[in-house]
Amino acid sequence: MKIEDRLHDALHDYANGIDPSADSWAAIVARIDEEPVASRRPSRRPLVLAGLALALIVVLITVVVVRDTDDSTKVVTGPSSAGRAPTTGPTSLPVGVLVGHRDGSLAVVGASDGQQQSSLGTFPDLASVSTTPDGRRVYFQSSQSNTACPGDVGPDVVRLDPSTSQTTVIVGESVAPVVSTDGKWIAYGSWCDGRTLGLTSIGSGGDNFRTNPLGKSSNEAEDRVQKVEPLGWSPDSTLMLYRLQMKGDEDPHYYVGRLWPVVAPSKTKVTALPYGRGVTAAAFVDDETVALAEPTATGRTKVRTWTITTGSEELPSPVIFAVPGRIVSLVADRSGQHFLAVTDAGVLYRWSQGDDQPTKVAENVATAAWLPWS
Amino acid sequence: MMMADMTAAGDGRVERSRADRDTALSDLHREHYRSLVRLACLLLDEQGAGEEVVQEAFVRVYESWARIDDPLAYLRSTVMNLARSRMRRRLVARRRVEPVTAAAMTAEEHAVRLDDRQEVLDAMRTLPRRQRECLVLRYYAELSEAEIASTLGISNGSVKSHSSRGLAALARRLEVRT
Repeated sequence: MKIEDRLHDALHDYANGIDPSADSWAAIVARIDEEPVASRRPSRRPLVLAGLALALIVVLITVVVVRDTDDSTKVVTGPSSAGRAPTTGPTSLPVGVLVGHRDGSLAVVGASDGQQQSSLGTFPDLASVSTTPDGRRVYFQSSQSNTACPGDVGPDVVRLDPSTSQTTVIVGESVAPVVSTDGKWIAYGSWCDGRTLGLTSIGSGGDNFRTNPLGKSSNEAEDRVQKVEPLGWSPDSTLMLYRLQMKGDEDPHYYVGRLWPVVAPSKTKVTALPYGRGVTAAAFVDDETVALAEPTATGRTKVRTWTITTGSEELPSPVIFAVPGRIVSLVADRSGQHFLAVTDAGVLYRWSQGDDQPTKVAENVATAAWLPWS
Repeated sequence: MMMADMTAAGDGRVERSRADRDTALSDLHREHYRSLVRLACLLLDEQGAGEEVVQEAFVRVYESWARIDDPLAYLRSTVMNLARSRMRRRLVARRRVEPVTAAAMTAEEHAVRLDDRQEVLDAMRTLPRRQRECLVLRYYAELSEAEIASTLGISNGSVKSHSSRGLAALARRLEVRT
């Protein structure tokens, strides 16, 4: 069946199920009588002035207090009617944050005070830093040379042993490494050998795999993928969250996938996240919930949670926190209670469940990760 | 001139034009209210909100009657605009609309058909706004390209590209999900 026909049928079937109330005309007439034209639309000038005054107040409030103005709920304290908020009790703040600066320097800073504790070196075009749960290996994206990938000009995925400062390129022409929560896998976006989602097993001999980010049996779809960027793993390490840029489509699309070789080929499942268009960053909160960062019209970014299993049928949760600027990277710790957000202005914020508003940790930041995770 | 009629106090034509307006609006309501609510629901996925949006659109047409050439086109554009801002606010809780059961189908056929329909609608709702609007106006309201262009205030070329990109993206998403 052609896609046009399927759409036509779906739209009409759905529409036929809607039976508008019979007394609608009376309702309209009542509204007209209730609200005479003169009182509904006084004159344009006072309206414009009021609009300007309101805008000014909104801007002032936004500047003074970094919090959401659309939703009164700043902190999610329990399950909401919509996207589910984390429900476990409070956990303590992770001890440190691994911070990659825009100048390529990688450092460990204190989570609560933002003070630098140690420097791990400087790496060209440093991005997407991620650590094993024990913090003994750090993976990131950096432009190295002499990799096995033919015609290598782009970034590579690099492993760093902080105790010896030794670095190893584990795969060329690849971006955005993310270590799984159990520390067994690294996922990255690869174009060394076609645009795919790459996976390397950390534990068992470092085997490299390529997997289709659109799920099994869609080679044709794979050809349309322009860029794959893993963003995170579920706490149980079976689901991956990633962003796909498709050829000829300017909007990135966010997916949650249970992919081979992490699960058996028969268990492969890919779900597109709804409302993905405006989203600039995403992170797992728990095995069923992701946090999505969406920019607002006032230049801030709101972070909401979203329940994966119920998909588009559910509204997002109230905003859990908001920061000025556009969030380019969002990560949560293993408990899903402590978040790090890096903005396009290079400011790193942290926010924990129960916090009134986010705390600024550092500036000139390109990438950040909690250290250790648990 | 209509505007003069509306403001000329004491003129018998005022009453007549008011009566014309009320008749025309009530006709429009009888013929198009249901389909406009359905159109709004396709964009909003909530019947209550769909009805509110369409009722508000009728109130606006009533208020602007004197300067409207094509009330149906104006209604449609207003419904699209109101649905869009309603969507943006997403303040209202959704009430799911229960599908009607088609008698001719077996339970199994019906289930398959509902699954497919839901899948198509879910996929459509993840499309960018313009693409979604163009597809609903084309395949539900069955408007021409030119009508869609004037309803949305965009060019014919944009309608064409949004529609074809929307369809392609839809096909892609459905392929991903299956």
